[in-house]
Amino acid sequence: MLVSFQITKNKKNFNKNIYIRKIFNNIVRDMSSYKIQKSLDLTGTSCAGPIGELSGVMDEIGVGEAVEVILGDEATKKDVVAWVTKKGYKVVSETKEGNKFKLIIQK
Amino acid sequence: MKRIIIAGGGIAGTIVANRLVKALSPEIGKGEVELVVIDKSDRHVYQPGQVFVGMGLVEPTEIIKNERDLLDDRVKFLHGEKGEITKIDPANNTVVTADGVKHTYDYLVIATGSHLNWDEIPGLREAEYTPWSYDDALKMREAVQQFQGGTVVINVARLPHKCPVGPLEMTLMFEDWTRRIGIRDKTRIIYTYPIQGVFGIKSANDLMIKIFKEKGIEIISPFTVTRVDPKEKIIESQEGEKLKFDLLLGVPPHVGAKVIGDSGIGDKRNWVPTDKFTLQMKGYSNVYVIGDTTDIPISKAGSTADFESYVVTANIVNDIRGIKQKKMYDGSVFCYIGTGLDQATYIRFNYNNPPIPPPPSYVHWWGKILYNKLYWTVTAKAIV
Repeated sequence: MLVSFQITKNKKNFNKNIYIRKIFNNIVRDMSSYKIQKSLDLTGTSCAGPIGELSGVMDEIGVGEAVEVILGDEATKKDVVAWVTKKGYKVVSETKEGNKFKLIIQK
Repeated sequence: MKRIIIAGGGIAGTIVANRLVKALSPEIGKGEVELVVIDKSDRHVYQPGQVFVGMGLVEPTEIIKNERDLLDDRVKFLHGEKGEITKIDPANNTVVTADGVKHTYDYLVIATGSHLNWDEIPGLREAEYTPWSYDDALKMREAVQQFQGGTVVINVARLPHKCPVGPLEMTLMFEDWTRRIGIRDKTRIIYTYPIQGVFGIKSANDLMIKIFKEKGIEIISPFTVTRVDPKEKIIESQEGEKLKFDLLLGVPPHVGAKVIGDSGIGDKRNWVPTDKFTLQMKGYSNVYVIGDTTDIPISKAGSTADFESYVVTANIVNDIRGIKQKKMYDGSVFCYIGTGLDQATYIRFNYNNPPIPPPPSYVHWWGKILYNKLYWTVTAKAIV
């Protein structure tokens, strides 16, 4: 990968670096081999809960495939990341949009 | 004439058909709208009652009626070979049945439900008793009546499944039953669940764990069942647990209807991709999905279907009448949870407001019984 960027404390350049990092992440994501099989909006209340809903989908996808999840708060995100790590899956992308978190989880 | 086809005559299909016929009464009277329910079976089972049958608390005849008797006379009902759907083709607005007929529609409501997928777990079919189907509830009733003590494992195989609070109810009703017949001291009850805890919603999970502890019910979770040895009576988990049992009760894995997979319109478990607010099938504005059939992260329960039926009805009616307004489903669910043989609590919530279950009481138990009994005369007929 030829794209590189430097972390700087220079406020003027800070946004540019964030921008470059986003491009970098997008390139990495595009070049990776996983395929997003399903997008799950887990911001609402459901009986199975976010981990229950996610576990059902992770069971059905193949190794190497991925799921995109949208989560409504920081605590749920931490719980989901802990569960993902425990199950041996991988969070390959994590972004924040407003108050919501978007994770891409690969099996 | 506009034709509305409802694929499936279970709880969701029946309620939405009756609600639509009432809402579209003027148009149906003038011959401008036709409503057709298509289902292979002409029996209608009140599935939330199956756990009562499995526990021997009600007679099987109390939870089953003829579908024709529940549907409004103005609804056309196709069943048998004429009602066995072999293909759903939303791109061409058609539903094909086993008799070879292609039914065209202007609006389609898919209510084909959730089904048990026993073969996903080797040995499960031979070893487990479940009230999650009518016929299996009858078998469970016999097994429970013969039980004289020993280790009972109650397993939830996979999420999501129909009636999410059902395994909690089954566990607590069974525990109470062993007390009443005097075998509780000879009975070890172990509840296993595929994620941490006993339920996915924190407030209900906390309450249920407290009740389980008070009643001496052991919890092993996460426990993701991988295989069952019916001869040795051992259930094994992905997490490495092996449990010996004398009686295995549980919830087998669920999938959407086979026709969804055969038609290529579902995800890998045959749930249909659905907009969580409008309940339209993703990509098709004239196709709605209701009840267990959807892929939305909400409870697969009769009350969910009932709440959703208002949204589907309003959106189809508005479209037929040229009103450009969409009603949105807010994720409403209401479920009673039996916590014994004469106590219950409940959860009432939507996407944005988690439930606050009240302490179990006799009053909620009778609310549950009343809700079950009113199903035939009020809920199924879309009276309110």
